[in-house]
Amino acid sequence: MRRIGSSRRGLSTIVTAGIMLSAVAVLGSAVVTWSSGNLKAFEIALSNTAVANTNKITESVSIENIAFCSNCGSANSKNVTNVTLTNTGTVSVTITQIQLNSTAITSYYYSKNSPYSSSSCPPPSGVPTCLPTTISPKQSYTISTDLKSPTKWSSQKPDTITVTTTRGSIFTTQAVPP
Amino acid sequence: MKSRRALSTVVGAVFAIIALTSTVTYVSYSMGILDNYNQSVLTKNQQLSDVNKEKFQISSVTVPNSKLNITVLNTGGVPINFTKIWIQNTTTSATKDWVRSYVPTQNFVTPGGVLTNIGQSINVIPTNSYNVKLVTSRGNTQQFIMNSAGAQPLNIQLLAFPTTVPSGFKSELVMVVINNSTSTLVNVSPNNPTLTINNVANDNPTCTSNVVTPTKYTTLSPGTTAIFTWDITVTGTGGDSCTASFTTPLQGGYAQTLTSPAIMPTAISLSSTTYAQNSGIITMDYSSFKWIETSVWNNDWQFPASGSISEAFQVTFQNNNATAGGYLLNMSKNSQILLTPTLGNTASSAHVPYAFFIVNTINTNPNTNSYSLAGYSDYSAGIPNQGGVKTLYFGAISASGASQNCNGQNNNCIPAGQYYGLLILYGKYTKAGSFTGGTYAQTIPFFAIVGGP
Repeated sequence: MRRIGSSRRGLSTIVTAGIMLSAVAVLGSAVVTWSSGNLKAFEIALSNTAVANTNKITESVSIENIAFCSNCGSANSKNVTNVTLTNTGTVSVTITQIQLNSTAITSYYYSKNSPYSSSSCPPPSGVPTCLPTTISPKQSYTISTDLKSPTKWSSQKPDTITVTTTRGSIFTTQAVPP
Repeated sequence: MKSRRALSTVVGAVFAIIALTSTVTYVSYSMGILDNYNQSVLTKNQQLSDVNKEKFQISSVTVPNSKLNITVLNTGGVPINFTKIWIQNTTTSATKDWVRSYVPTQNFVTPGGVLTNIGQSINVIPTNSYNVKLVTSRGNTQQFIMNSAGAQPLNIQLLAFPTTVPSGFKSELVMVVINNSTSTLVNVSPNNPTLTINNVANDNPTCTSNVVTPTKYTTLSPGTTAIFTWDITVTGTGGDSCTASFTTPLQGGYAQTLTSPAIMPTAISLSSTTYAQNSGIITMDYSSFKWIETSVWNNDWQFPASGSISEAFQVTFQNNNATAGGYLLNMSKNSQILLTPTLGNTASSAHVPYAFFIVNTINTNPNTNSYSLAGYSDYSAGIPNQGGVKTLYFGAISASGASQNCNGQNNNCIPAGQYYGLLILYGKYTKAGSFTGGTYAQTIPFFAIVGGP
């Protein structure tokens, strides 16, 4: 009797233990996999955020010179402003937009022969003066902004020039046309 | 039972280890990321700090051999590397589209150091005006304007000191230039003034200017002031005036008309009211001059015929010394009136001047129709500073004396004839009751008198 009863108890216990073990293993593996995936996602998000912010604070653009051109394109047109930017940071910077007095520039001046070209950038020939553009560290780039005729810049009235990068950095300066 | 417990413990331990390892890995990774970000922030702060520490001053700009030559002083705390020079021809409105950039060959300067010969590769026309900008590797810029006072009117004032001057004397024309622009001005020189004469008295007034001082300011930083002066010599009278004007005050600068206050010449006169500004500190009131021979004071210029009666005098003086603090001019016993005959004495022989030394008072006596002198103690009578007025008496034959003499050459009895006179005053500027102080002497031209008919 003792052997028969003992044998039954042992089987059920083993089965139960096996089921429990399987359940724990399955659930545990699922939890571990889920948490590992989440942690990985967090790691990637954290990494991306950190890299983006690090690059953003590292990028530095100097609006080096602003030249108001009176006779570019046509005589006394006064609608071209050459803005020279220099990347003074340690990472490449992509300039996406330039604004004059809060007006986004969409037209750029290339040369006397093809003034006021469209916003297709870079142009088919000649030195590009348009946006978007990527400026490597220590390099400069001149943007020839075109205020579409009949809009002109006004002498002795300060203009605000704002430059925006892909990372969201904004650089602003002011200049007074002659 | 022991083996079953061990199995579950092992399984739990495995999961625990996995969980802990994952957590530790994630935390470590996060810490690493944050550390990198922190380093970036620190680096950025350092860069911004260096940008703020970067300061330089343009000490001179010349154009030898038609080449730009800029000298820069590093006044900041970090080395400076100049990466570019922008130059714009601002000579006329038609040339302003001419904009060029150059990379300087001389470009590095340590803190406190001087960098010379910047821009030697740039050809410029010395007489043209240029707007020049220096750019550093950190993005700082400094702009200055060469040979031009800019496209905007500067704050310029014209003054004249004084506006009223005696004819033939000089007034100072002063041009005050304040650089209210945002650019440093280089080689700032004024044009010559145009002098305009207003001939009111129709007496051919003149107005001339000497050269400007200084001729040039090498640099004029934003917010600083330059002062140019001219000596303007004017002649004329009666409301004549001279004004200086500019249509373009600075060479190559903005056209703005400036006119100075009118400078008015006045005739030099020796009246009691204007003598002080033309002559000396002690002035006399000519109308107060009086003489006495008997017991009556007289104020005309001709004495009665008298070869044996002595004379005495009184004159009122004013002390125009502006020094405050209770000071006065205490008169010395040697002060005197000196009268000299214009044609010599009898028989054309030379005569020493007739001296009448200062006395304390002169007392008249109507009963005897005479007067008497009270001897003068050295420095006992003072005329207060700042316009003090006092009447002084003269008549003694000697210093501190109370008597007169009518014999011999040295006497107080003036014979018939014409005389010219001088008032000779000695004294000390001191406080009342004190006998120490700075000595002072002055002669005042007296007017002529006639002794006897």
